[in-house]
Amino acid sequence: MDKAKIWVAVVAAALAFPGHAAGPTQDELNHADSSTEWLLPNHDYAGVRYVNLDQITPENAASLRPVCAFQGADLNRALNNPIVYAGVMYVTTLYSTFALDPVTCKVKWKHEWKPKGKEANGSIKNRGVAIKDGRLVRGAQDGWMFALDAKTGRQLWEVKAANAEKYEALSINPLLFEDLVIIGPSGSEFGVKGWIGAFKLEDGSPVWRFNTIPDDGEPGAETWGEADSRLKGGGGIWTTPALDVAKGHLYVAVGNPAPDMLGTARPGTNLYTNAIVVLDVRTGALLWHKQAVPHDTHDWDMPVTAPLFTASIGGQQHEVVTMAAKDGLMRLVDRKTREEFYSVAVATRKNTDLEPTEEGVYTCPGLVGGVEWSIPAYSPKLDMMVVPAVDWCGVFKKEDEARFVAGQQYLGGSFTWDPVEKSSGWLTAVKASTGEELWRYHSSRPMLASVTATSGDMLFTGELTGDFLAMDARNGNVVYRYNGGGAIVGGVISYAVEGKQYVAVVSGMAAGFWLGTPGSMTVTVFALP
Amino acid sequence: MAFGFFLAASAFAGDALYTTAQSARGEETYQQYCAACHGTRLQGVPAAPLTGEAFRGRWEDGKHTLDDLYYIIRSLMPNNAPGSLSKAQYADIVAYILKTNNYPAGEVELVPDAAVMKTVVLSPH
Repeated sequence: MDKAKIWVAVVAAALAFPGHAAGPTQDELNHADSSTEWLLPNHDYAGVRYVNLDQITPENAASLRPVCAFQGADLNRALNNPIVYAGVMYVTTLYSTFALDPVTCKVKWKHEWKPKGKEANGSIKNRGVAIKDGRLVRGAQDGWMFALDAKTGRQLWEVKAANAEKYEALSINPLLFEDLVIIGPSGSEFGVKGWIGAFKLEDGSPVWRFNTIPDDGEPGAETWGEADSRLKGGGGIWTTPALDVAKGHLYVAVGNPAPDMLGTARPGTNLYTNAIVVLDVRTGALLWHKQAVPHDTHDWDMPVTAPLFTASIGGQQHEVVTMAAKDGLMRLVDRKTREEFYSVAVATRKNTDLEPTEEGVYTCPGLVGGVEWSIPAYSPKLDMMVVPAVDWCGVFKKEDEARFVAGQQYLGGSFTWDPVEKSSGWLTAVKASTGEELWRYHSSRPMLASVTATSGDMLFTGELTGDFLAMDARNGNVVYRYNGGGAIVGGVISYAVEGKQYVAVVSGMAAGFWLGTPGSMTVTVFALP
Repeated sequence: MAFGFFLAASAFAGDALYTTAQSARGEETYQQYCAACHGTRLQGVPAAPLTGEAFRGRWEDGKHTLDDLYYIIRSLMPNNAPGSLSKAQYADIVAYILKTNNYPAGEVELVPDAAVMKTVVLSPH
């Protein structure tokens, strides 16, 4: 082959397989737990949120300062989980995807998605991208999913993966494993009949689908009473699943049943709502499930199925999964026996066994209480889990009928919130092997942002007020606090570039009912001088 | 159904669904209880817009009745205290939303009667 022919062959290969030479490879993703970048929304497949970086410590964190900020100019919910790979940060807003320099915040490229039709209007947000083999994949509010070349932002493919006419929106960071993209629609109380599915990374074509609300004849369908009650039964996918890579087991968190407060419309346990569903990642076959809140009447989703880790309990090593829910309980469950080792109340609990009445029942947690979308961080070094939570009680009422109005919340009742002054938040640190409480941090407002732990004994998180917190993980003391002017309810990550440690914080809007400090979507990067 | 349609035709002369006085009352109530989330001009942020393209797409798609709108507002709003206003106040707020979306005013007030409101399908004006 002469030089010209070789050149043509190289160009042709590059066009046929854009970005294939680039990573992260499957091997890199499998070892994301030891990476000092941030390859997955919760750092690694197991969702441990622990980074082996120790330049920032409780002794020097007081001299942290912001080094740059990126303004996304977007007033939708700022729930993005940034990804950092090969010295590039990827963040999203509802329609835009940005590649940024993670040290200077300069934009390398921007991609803009133009909705192709009706957009599902429940819970409008985007949580971010996933990356593998030089490709980024993300979903959109119109039910479409698309892939971009990570180097250039050029669009590689697009597929209609979900049906916005059925109120399905794709908001979570997808999970990429081998040749699969795993994603499912959110929006449990907007008329969704939930599912999670796998698509080919190469072109987005469908591979398997698991119905989180069973179809007729599928196991679990008998837990719903009349067949019609499953049609808008909820069970949305709110958070990216965790993955046990060695076994190929996918840990899916399934959202609440609908109508939320009217249990008589759906008699039974309502599988697989508010449950952990464990699937074979390659086939979607159900392996086992465990329901945290059967027959829920309080919108107490079970969004947390991570971290997965190995705990030393009673002198024995146990592979465990963390289950936490909006009911205010964090549970540690044996992945082999499926037995619960312990559960810890991380928010106020009152009248939790009472169903809503037409007159109303005062209950804690309220409609948005307990543990929301942010999973606990786990420090293997300190044998410690740290979980953010919401304290905001109120009165649940049910209605006498379930009425669905297209595009609106399908609640079958209502919730009257305690005054905002009575809302607050907690970070609770527990000894991971025993569940013993180590310390608690009380925030003036609900705590919703993600939490990151480091080998430098630091915790990084943020508050609804807009305060970024750098804390001593050993005692919960705040070492550094910085208010950037927008609520912090999304990603907070730490990574290294050329050997130097940084922390990036997403701030902006929370959903209106949180009454958080408003702001435009912003990424602020912090570092030591 | 036929009776309902006839009733609607007699209750609302032409397309007019409310009076100017009622929408003015509704505006006052809206500014007190709704504007903090839906905006002083119903433009939305952080909550959903109640006017313009977003309102047309969400409500005026030929699949929603006036009662659907009234039901959602009376059962879920204000967000911090759902159902805490009177039926008349909710009807006034609906009148104000109709006015802002170019529905014509008339001589008869909108009454909070589900049977009547169910006969009106929302459409762009």
